[in-house]
Amino acid sequence: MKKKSIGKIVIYLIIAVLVVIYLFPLFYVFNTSLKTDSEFIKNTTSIAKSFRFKNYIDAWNAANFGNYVFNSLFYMIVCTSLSIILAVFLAFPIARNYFKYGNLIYALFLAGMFLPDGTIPQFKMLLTLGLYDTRTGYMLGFIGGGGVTLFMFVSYIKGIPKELDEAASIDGCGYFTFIFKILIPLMKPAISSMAILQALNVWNDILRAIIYLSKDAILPMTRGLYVFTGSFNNTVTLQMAALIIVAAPIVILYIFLQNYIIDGTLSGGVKG
Amino acid sequence: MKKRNFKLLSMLVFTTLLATSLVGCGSKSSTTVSTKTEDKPVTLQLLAWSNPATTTALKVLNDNFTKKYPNIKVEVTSVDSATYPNLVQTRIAAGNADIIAQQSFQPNPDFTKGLDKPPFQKYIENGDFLDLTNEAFVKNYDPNAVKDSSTFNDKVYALPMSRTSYNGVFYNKTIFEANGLKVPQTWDEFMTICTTLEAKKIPALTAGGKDSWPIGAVAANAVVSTVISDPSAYVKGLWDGSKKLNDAESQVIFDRLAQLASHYEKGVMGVDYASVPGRFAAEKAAMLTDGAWQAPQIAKANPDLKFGYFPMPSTEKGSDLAQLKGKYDTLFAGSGKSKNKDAILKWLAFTSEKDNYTPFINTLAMEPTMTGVTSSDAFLKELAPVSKDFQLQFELVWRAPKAIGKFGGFQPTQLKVLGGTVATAKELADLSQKDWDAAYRAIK
Amino acid sequence: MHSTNTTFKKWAIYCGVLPAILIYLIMNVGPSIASFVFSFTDMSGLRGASWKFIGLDNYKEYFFIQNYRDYIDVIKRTLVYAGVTTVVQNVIALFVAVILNSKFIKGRNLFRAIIFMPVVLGVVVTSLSWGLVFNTEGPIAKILAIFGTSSNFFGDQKYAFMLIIFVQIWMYMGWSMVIFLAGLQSIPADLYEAGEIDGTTWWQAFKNITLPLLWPSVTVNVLMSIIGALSSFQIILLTTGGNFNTSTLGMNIYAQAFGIGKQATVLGLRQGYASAMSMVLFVIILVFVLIFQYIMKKREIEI
Repeated sequence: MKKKSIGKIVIYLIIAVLVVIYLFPLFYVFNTSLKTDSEFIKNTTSIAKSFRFKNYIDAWNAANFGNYVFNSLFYMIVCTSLSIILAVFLAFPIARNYFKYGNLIYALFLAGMFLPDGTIPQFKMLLTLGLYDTRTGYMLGFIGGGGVTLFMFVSYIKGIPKELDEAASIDGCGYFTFIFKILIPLMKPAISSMAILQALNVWNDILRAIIYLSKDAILPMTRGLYVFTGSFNNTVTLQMAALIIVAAPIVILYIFLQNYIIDGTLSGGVKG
Repeated sequence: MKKRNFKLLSMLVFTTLLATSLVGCGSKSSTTVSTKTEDKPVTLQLLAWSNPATTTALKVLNDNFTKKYPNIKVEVTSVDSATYPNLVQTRIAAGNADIIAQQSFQPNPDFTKGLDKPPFQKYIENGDFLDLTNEAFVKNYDPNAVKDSSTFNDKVYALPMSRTSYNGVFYNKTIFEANGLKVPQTWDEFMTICTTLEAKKIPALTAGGKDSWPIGAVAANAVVSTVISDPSAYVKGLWDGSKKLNDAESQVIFDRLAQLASHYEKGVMGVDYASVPGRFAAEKAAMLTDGAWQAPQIAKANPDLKFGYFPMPSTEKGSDLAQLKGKYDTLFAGSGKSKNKDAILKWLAFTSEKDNYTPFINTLAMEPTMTGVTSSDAFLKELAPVSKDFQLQFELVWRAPKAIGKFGGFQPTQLKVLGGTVATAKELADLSQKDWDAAYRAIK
Repeated sequence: MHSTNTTFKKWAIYCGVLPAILIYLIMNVGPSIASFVFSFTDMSGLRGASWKFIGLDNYKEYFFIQNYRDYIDVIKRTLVYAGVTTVVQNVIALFVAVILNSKFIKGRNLFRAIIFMPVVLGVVVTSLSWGLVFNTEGPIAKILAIFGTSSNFFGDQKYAFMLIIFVQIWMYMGWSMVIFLAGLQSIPADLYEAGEIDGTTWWQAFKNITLPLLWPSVTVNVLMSIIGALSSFQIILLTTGGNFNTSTLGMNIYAQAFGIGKQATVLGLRQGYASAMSMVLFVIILVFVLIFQYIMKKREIEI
């Protein structure tokens, strides 16, 4: 019995350490964002003396954070929805063999997961098409989607009985209606895990934002924050306020949605 | 997900899809600005690297400019100097840059071989910089400044706004007085000051180590310039083999680098360049190796701080080597492919008027490059005795063979005392020459 | 062979399939091939600049005009970054998942959410936060001072890279942990109960029940993560910008092509050369892909 309770204590200790390691940075940033710059220089680890929100006001005025966050959300939602829809439309005919070159295309997509990086030509192409520094150009790069999503969808669809298609068609259901009203709801688990994967991919992107975007109005918050810390770097406290401005809505949303997000990630059976 | 939620989601998707197409088309058309009518509203995109003094100076200048030409607005984008090349490249590629700040144009000397063209040359040859040779306002500037910094193949491609020195050291006058210290006239005096301060538990030197270049370029080159009086001849000697990075002359440089490195405050390599004015102003160290451009930021961080600037001293007192050396700093080039050429030229002409230039250069607190303009900045006035003969800093002439290793050149940050792996100055000098030889062999 | 299907109109099917294929060809396949072509040119990336084919010059420069010591360092770092972060991250994640899966833990979902949060916060928030924490006068510095040492953290040539690996692992550990947790929870509890009756220790249970059942998905995820990590460098960009011996091949490619990063020597505008470098990276990735396929094939044979 003694062994078990020591074990329990050790485990709780490890968890406690992990919680500290995972929560500390954000709290530290928050604390710093409440200080004045001289306060920070004097002592970086003291508790801020007061809730000095001036930094937040200054940061908010200095750059367009509301816009940045909106852009990030916009890109995330649009790109994810579009790439999921396109992937479903491609996966279904392949899975059901309705499509002459299905297997060839499938192999092409899978092989394509390991193609060399085409960012440089993509950049040149967007330039020529006049899509550089536009929302459309930026988002196109994410919709290209790919191997993993297609793979997951094809195997999932194979598990959905074919009789369903025939039943729907007999009922007079058109193709598009079928996909949207019947197939997609059935694919919820696979879709949610791929969607979250893709959403995080778009949300976290900073490289493409640096390369393909220029206008301040359409920057996502990754680049917006990065550029901000690059140009106002005299005041660490101001930068940290900007960080919190960007992180706060994420944290709040996360607190409410975390179960959905985490469970959603797994529902597609990310097993391999 | 309930059916209701799904309907909501599909509505959301549909509307965003619609919005996308509208926005996508919308943003495309908004980037084309027709200049058919002269009075159509124009926004000039100005790119500069972030320097708080420049930002302030530009704001005043641009506000006055818009007052004169109400249909032209100027939008400034600034990022830190390390990220700046990327900004310029992407903006020029996008056709979204009108006025581009540049550093002095230094083409590769003839005695070098196999080097890539410097970016400014690529831009000029691609027509991305406007040819200003025949513009009237160019004559307002000191012709030497124009010739040495903004010319390529006998054509002028930029306006030199300022000159700055950066082989010096900021020092805290109060701390010096309190400890009976005077501005050092020789290198040995400089080192003694450092040890004296450290004995009294006062950190001697600080710098923005984390950004790499404040110590690796600014401080290192300052040390080099205390030994090398003719940078051109020295670099040429390296290329033709008559000089070596580990010969006796160069060894003095490395020895001094090691000495300087040992007197920086602990943890200097983790100090952000941006926080340096604040640190020096908060008296975290008695001295700061940096460029003179930092003066206004220090003054802003602590208006009560009494500080000065001295060039890094050389072996003998009053040597020519201990003069301030620097570069032409802020140049403005115009975009050669912009649709707003008229507006750009108007802006450049406006900036070149004495009445607009003078407040600009004074806010910038750098040496003026316009004929007949003298700075009213007290700090700069104090530096007059040591800035008699403006010389270009070593860094501008330095060229190493392509793809030289990390030890090539003068790299104090590789020393153990600054977090690197090399123990002594002699070792560093040898490694440096070894890397040079390897790179040189590769291009032969 | 396709079924002569009359279930759905053919044109509708082809219509649905077209956008995905088009975008894929235009945005992925085309550029990849173009990348290969570009590697034989002297393209700079300037708009409207002329360029020409220069044959193998870019490759010659990459392999011969190099400082081999630094060059090998970059490749080493690329491999270490991909391999170490992924493997360590998964090992720790497995360990934490096993712990959190213990029957007596209350509030498992809360802990799970806390550890997963960095994934949602994103690279920029994560990197900047840790950049602040690892300030030379920050909290970690003060703790180190108690032990009599100090560090330049992200400015330290010896340790900056390790710190970056730490941040990367910190950020993505939650992702792997969540996957493992789900896997663990799908293992039927009676397997463990049977073991308990027999008196097996915790370690034996782990070795004989947990590991074999999880192993397939573990290897797949690890290998795919390694392949992905070989070309990623966002955290490096956001913390040190490539200085202090932290840049990887992926990062150097972007530095040469677009001037991204804070390394003093690289100023962009060398897209032909960068394309050649990306071919080299591709070959490295290909090696791992082949290893991956080999392992998958072997497993199929075993089954």
